[in-house]
Amino acid sequence: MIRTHLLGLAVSVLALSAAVPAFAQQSPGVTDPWFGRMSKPKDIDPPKTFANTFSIELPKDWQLAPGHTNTIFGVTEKTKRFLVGAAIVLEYSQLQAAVDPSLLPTVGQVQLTELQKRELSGSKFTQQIKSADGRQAIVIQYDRPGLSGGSDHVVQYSYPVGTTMYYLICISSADQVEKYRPIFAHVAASFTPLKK
Amino acid sequence: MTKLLIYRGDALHGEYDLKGQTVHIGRSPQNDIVLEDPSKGVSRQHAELRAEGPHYMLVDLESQNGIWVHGSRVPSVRLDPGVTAALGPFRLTTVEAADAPAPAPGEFVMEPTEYSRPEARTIPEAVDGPGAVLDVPVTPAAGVPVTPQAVPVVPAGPPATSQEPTEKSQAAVDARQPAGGPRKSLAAIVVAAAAVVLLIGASGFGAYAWLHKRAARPVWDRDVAAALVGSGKCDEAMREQIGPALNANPNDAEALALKAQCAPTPPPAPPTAPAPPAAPPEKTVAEKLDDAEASIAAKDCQAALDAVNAILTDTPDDARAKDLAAKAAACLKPADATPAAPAAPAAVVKISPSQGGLDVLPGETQREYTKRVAAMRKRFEDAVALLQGQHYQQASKEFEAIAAIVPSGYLDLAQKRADIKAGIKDEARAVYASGRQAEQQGDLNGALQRYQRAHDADPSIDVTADVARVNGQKLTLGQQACKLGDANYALGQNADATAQYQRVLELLPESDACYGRAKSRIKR
Repeated sequence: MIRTHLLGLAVSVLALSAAVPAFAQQSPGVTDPWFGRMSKPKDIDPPKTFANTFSIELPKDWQLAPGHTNTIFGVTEKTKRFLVGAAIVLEYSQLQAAVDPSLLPTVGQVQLTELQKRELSGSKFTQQIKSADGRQAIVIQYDRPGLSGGSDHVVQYSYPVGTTMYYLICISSADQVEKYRPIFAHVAASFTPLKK
Repeated sequence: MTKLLIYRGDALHGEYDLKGQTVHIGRSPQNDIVLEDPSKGVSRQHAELRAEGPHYMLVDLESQNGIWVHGSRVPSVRLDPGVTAALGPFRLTTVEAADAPAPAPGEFVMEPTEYSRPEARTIPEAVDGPGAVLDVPVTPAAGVPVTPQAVPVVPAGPPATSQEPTEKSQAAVDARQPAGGPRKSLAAIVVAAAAVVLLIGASGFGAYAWLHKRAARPVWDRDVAAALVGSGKCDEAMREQIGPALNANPNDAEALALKAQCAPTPPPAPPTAPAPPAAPPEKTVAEKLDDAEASIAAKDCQAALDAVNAILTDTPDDARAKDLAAKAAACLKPADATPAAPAAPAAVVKISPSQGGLDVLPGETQREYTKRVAAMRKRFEDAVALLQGQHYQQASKEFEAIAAIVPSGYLDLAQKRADIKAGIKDEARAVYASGRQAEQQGDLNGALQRYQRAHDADPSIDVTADVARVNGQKLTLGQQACKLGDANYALGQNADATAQYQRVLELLPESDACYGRAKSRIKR
């Protein structure tokens, strides 16, 4: 009887392990869980170049929708109907002055303040400066109420490039954030401005 | 006895016995001696004759035409015998009584009322009748002044020559009367003939004497001429004085000079004109001043003063003449005229310093001392008012200034100064405390000011660490504000950027790079 229960548990564990997506696993060599490439990325498309300005690697089989005005594009996970997925949006804005790298923490603080003013229902706001491959980004995270009644988790990456600020906004449901965190981290770290 | 003789032209106009009184002379009837002059060369109150010891001073009463002596206008002149002064057309001189001249034929003598005592009349008895008897031309002077005070003038004849012919004429009259017999008639004829001869001889002698004297009289008077010219009456001067003078002697230098004054721009004499005969040259001003100086040395002070005054009339700015005039005037003054040395000031009653008194200054009068003490007392009380109003710094400065002036022990100055020191210490501690409070409230600049003020008031309060700490805070906060300003500015949030940059300007020194950036971006 006891042997039977132990065998069933082992099978269940194996079955659960097999069910976890491969890209959700913590890849060795990734230093920051929220800003870094996967060492052996799977289900990630090759880098795409936009307007000869920057390149970025996006999740495979996600649906890409080019944007307009200050929205460059949006990619959403293809899911079955009524199933909650994730989305990534890239926006940009012009700055009045270039931001010195030493000023990033302050800019992050200002952005956080502005977000807090804008997202009046937001919670759990955090702001960090993260580095990967010699590039820095302002990372702001917070939760906000979702349309389905649960909470969404938002991760906003900001890249100042000259007098342009790029905003990579990654959104998933709060309860599935661990599933999408490696994908968000990889995409964010893959953003590479192109030298003209 | 001194007599004053007044001539008009060459005629004796009148004479006066001077008995030491002051005699007023002028055209007005109120004068003692009235000189009527229709041409107004004589002023209403022209001059006065003052007795000064044995001498008489003729003093100009600021008349229009003045007194002229030797061709110069003088303010005064000592009218000694031999000195002639001109007033308009009149000449005045004095003689001692024994030297009084007998009136010349045709001259008139008048006496003023004041001098009309019988004994003063010396002339009328001598002129009784001869003019009617002698066949001598007697011409009463036309226009001879007859004043209300004056005795009517009568013609004056030469007494020395008139008496004898009178007796002879009586004899002649007697001879013409019948005597009774042929001898008597013959004798009478002889006597009558002799009388006629004598009468003719006397008449001829009298006529000769009159003509001789007339010929010997000067044809002009330079002083009168100068007076007329000086008063602008050139026509009269030329007609009565200068013209006759030039007729008598066309080369008369003085007459020519006066004529030149009447005609200031005469045509230059031709080079071939004969030089005038050598006349005694007019002394230069320097020579006249030399003479005056010599007169002063010889104690002839009045003469020196007259000469110098005459020079000053023409050249009032002559420094040497002024100097000599002062010397001559001083020479005239009696020795006791020197002003006495001022009396020593009365001793000042000194007030004790404890009562607000001050030290007495040299030469200070009681009134000045009292005034100074009162002024210092008021200043002290004003300083006390500052102290009571807790204006310690101002009060301290004022008390220190007072302490530098007043003697020690002045009122309670020492106590007040001690009070001020204690008050300043208390004030400094209070200021320091308010500085800490300002620092805690983030008013770093206010805190710094208070710390510094406390230390200035009481140097025993060490604020070095406080100042360093606050300056460190300012730097940190300024840099933070700078970054926030930059970030907001970069993100286009200009209102927030401006607010932060304002903080930068308050907190960071001008030497900081962010200061200039903040200033420029605020302006933008």
